[in-house]
Amino acid sequence: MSLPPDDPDLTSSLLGEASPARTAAVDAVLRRDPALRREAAEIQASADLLGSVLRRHAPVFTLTEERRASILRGETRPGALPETAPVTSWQEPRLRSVTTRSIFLHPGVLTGGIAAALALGLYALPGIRGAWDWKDAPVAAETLGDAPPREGLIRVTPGQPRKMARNRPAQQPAPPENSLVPADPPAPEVPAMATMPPGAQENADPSARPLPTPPGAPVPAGTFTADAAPPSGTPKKPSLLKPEHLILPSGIGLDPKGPVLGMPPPGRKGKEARKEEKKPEKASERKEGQATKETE
Amino acid sequence: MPVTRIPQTPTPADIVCRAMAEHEQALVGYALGIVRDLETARDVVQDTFVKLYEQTPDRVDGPGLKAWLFTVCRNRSLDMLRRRKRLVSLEEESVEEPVCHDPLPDETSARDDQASEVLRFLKRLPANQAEVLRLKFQNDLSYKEISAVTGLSVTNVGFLIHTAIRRLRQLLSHETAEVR
Repeated sequence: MSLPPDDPDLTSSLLGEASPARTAAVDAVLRRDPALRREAAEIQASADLLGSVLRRHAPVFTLTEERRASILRGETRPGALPETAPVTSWQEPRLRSVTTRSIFLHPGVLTGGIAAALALGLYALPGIRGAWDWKDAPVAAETLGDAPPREGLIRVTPGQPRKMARNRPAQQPAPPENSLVPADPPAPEVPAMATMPPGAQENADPSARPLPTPPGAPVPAGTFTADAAPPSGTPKKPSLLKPEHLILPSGIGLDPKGPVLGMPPPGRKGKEARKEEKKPEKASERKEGQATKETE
Repeated sequence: MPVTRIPQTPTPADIVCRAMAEHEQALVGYALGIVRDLETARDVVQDTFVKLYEQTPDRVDGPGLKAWLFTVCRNRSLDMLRRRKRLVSLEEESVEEPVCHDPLPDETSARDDQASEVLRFLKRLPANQAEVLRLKFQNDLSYKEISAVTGLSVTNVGFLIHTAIRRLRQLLSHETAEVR
């Protein structure tokens, strides 16, 4: 057996802390190795010096008599801290202190947490998304009635998709020209509306109630309108929806050249363009007026 | 007729009296080394003995009493340190060096040069090494007892003591070489 000089077993055997077998083994090595003996002698001298110095210069402070009397009465010191650090007994195995951190680092707790997060993501998020979809319905419903719809809103009749496109312009592809509303699956329940034509509720078949298309306009594939033929196998039903059922903000949807539904209402740019269109008209009118004055 | 004496179970006051006679000074010195304030160290030791008083006699009367006392004393000292740090941070005061009401004996009564050097070098050691050295050479705790007090393993305690002794040796030899 060989023992390097920086082995802690050398110090522990010199201080009497190693097991008897280990101490005997170290002694056997020391008898064979003179260099290690010198090292051991230096360690022993340092330990002796350290022990003598520390014992000689140990603090000599004691408790006061008042404190001793208080201890012997078993009185807790006023203002004593509640115990927070773990106190172990020498007769019992040291219990590992259970902290919050160690609880959350437990593999079972970690696995459960990940599973719960996955379940939440799979089941709760679609519900949350549905709730967001429903938020559009009251907005559309409250605009119905006799009062004119607010800027940027349309009045919706039964069978018309209730999703308001103003909130998600990116999700809807740009509809083809002359079309009003992209084909969208209808909602299961539609509240009664003031502008619903009589008898429309009974015949309400959302799939067969598209929005009207101006005659002669090209019909995109996959959609069918009141005037276009439905897909093969489905009988053509007369459309109950007429263009006057739609109450739209000015210039939306009805003008083939104007902005289509799903796009934001005409803003400043549109107004400026309209002003520019009106300016030449006014100028021509002014010229005509001057000409009539001159003739008079 | 021979009278047989029934051994009486010691009362808590007996156990505390005996423990105070044996370990009071060592505990105050040990707590003082941690909290660096004599009155705080006395508070810690008083709390330690009150805790001993509250224990059942059969649980605390045994060979492990010394390690138990040092363990409780160390934990209370650390509690005090935490509280003091909290108070300082709450009051946003600058952290001052803890002041001892009485001068430390290792500063006043260090007469010979070698002893003063050892004490000076001891302060330059890491805190965990200095602590195990004091527990071993000043309070005569075994590796196992030091392990119970500090929460370190016995092997780790042996390694720390070995490393600290080697470091002290190097510092002392370097100092003597410089003096020559």
